[in-house]
Amino acid sequence: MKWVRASIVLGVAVISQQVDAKQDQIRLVTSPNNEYALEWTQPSGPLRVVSAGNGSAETQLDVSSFAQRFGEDHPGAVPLTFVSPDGTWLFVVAPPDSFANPPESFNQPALLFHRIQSKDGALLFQPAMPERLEKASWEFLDRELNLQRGDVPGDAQRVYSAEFIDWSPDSGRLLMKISSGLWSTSKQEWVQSVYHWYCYFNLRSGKFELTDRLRSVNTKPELNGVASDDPAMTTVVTAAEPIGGEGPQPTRKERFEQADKRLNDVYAKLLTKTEPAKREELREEQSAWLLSRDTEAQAAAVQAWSSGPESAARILENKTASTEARVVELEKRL
Amino acid sequence: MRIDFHGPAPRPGYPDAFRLGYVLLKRMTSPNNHYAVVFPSQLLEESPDFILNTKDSRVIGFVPTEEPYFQGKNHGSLSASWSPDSSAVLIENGGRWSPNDLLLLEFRNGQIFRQTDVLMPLQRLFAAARSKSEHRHVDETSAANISINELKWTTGKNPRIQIKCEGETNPKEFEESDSWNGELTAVWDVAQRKFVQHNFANVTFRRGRKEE
Repeated sequence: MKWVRASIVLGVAVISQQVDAKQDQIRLVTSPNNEYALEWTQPSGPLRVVSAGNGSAETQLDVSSFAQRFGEDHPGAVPLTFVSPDGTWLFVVAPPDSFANPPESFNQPALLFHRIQSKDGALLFQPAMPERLEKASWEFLDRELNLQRGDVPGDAQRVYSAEFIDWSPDSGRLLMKISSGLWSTSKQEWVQSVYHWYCYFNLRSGKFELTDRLRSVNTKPELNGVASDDPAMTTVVTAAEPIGGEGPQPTRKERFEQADKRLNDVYAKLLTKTEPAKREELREEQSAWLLSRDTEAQAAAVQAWSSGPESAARILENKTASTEARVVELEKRL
Repeated sequence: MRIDFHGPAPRPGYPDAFRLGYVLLKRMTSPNNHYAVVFPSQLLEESPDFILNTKDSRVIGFVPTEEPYFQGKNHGSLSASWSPDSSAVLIENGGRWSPNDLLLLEFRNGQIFRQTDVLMPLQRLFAAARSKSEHRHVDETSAANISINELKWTTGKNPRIQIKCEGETNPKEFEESDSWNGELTAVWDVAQRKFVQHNFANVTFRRGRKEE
């Protein structure tokens, strides 16, 4: 059973200490190359870039445009920050306000920062655009998809939200899911349904863009978070395409079903080959493996900060990879 | 008491979701401190509730449910009733009118050895008792709204858990609707994976004024 334990080493280090109520500095994230980290002072900031080694403050990021999401009324709220693989970009998004009423509960503003070179090698970041990222992205989609949404009826206001999905491995693209809808203040209801779309921000050109993959899925925008007509999750995007490495949507459900069938076949063969006295042991081993596979897949989706259909798709992708590895392992034992 | 813990290693450049978005409370930890149940804060409110092996620093399972509990969830609760020897736990994922899930986990060698749904067998007991009345609009999969009042473990060769609960079919007390109420004391045998004793008390039935 050693392999089972090894396969789900998830590194939970329980410190078993009561949280010090006075401890108000929170390290949000560390850059992939361990050069710097972002720290937040609870409850209202500031958001600072610090040296990962000695924790000395380097610079402060201006997140005042969504400052109302933090403070004594929002205990525990922290900005979510994602650092690009090359460490030169920061995506900062306000936490969801699940206790607010719509449309505020829906709105999730985001900012993008870019590292600038300094002569003395200091860590300096500046906003990548003068406006908020989610608004700029929706304006791009309006134009790109010819949505003709310039006019809003009555007292309706357009509400935007941006969700981080992924950086491309070459740090060339930022994949986001953008959501927007029209909220009527007088009617206190959505007068235009909330739609969710995917788009890239090209970090080299500094412009929003769509690839064939995104165009193909954006023809069926997810409405109100429900994608009931897409059980195979063909319109869910979880990975950003690197520049020059664009490709079609993965057929993740088919791939999982193929892997699952192969696993059932090889497991049945192994069970037949196993002497009767040891079959129950093999059944228990397989049962433990299935639980560890599913647990690992869930935990990995959580660490990707996935929710909704992206979470379901990532869980399936993780299960597929584990199942394919298990097939190889069992085949060796035949 | 809230306990600090670190989860699985985060993705490079990503915030640590387990560090920022999960809560571990002392009351959710096993008596021997080897296992615990953690739930997400509002930052990750759609994410699952996980079971940890705190001794070996691993995530070993999750609560399979459509409606995981998160901190501050409206009409939600999460409780863990551990056997005194820490070999099993009954997790109640509470909902507005009735538990969403009642899950029994058994541990062996630092792993989850077996997980069993206890809610459906409990609903079946209520369904059988209620069927003796002339209740209309019967739903066998959700026979009654159940409130768990008390859980009591007995250990030894055959660990068992006694569940004291109440069931009702008309929690809003609509006069038009039939109303069935009953108190149930039932004993679940862990090894046999079934209720081995049950007794209803204070059962009442009231016919609604008219057919809905």
